[in-house]
Amino acid sequence: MNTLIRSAQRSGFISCWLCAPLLLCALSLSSYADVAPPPQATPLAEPAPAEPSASTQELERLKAELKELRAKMSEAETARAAQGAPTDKELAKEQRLEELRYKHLWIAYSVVWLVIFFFLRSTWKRSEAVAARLEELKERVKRAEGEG
Amino acid sequence: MSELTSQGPVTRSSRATMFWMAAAAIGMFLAHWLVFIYAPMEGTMRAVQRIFYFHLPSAWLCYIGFIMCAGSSLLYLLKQKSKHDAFALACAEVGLAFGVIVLTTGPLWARAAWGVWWKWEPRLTTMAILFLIFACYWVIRSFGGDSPPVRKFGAVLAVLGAPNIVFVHIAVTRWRGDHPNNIQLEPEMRVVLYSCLLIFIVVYALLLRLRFRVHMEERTASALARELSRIGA
Repeated sequence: MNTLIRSAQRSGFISCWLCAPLLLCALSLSSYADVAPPPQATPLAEPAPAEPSASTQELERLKAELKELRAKMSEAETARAAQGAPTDKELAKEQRLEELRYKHLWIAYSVVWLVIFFFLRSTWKRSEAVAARLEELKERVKRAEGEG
Repeated sequence: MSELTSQGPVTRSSRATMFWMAAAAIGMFLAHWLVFIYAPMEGTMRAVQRIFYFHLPSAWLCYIGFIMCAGSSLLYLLKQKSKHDAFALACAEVGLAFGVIVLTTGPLWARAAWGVWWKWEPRLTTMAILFLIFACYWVIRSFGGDSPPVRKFGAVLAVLGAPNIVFVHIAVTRWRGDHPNNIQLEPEMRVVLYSCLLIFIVVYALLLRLRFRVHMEERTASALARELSRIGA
């Protein structure tokens, strides 16, 4: 009986766990619904020239405002360029300079490693040569002492 | 003669050398991590500023190498002991190796920061002169044979050449060059700089130790050869 209850509890536990993702999905969908973007504005129809309504007048006003804003933006851009804000050419130059900086950095670090490597290599080679010479000299000493 | 053979060189795979080698290798990798990952990006010079973390410690160790060379040369002139001369030569060689790093990384940095490879400004010029003096010392010692007059000549050159370090050091403040001096560093940058200096000191000690031992081994071999030729063996 206990086993049955335990298994029932376990299955209930498992089903709860299985339900959890679904619940999460539902929650996220509901929250998405809350913050979902508003439906895309449909393009406004051309106003009928014959009888201008209130909405048409509003549209005309908005168009005029937009035109004004565009003019202001272009003016601001011209002013920025005059003030020395980066143009495409300058940005490309800066990009080239950045590449040069990284290139020089890698070359410099390669130089550090190369110098240390070649110094160690030359020391090792000299050490090998002198060790061989010493061995040979020791043999000669032993022979000389044996003869003596 | 058996004394010469028995005292011989220290075995090359000694534990101390292995320790120094391991410390230097680990240190160099740590230095790269510090320089490329830990250190913050400098605002004006951007990535190329990272050369600084190896350039400055190399310059200091180049000075130390030449000062030690001069000191040991002075001891040689006073006491006439071969080990002092061997140590002076090893110091000069290691100092020159670090000098090569300084004089190569410097122009690489200058090209990206100043737009030119080299400027005849006081710090750079005096550093080049210092390097050339010790390069002359090395050429004389390497190709002039190992006779006592050559050793003495080299020792005098090192003793007279080393005071140039003072001029290199004061060049920026005294003659107002373009080379940066007394730079204000951010705390992280300072940590990286001093860590790199410590690591470079380990590398310097390793290179010096290896080179000095080779010079001592060469001297032992030469003494042995002389002894053998004297007895006609």
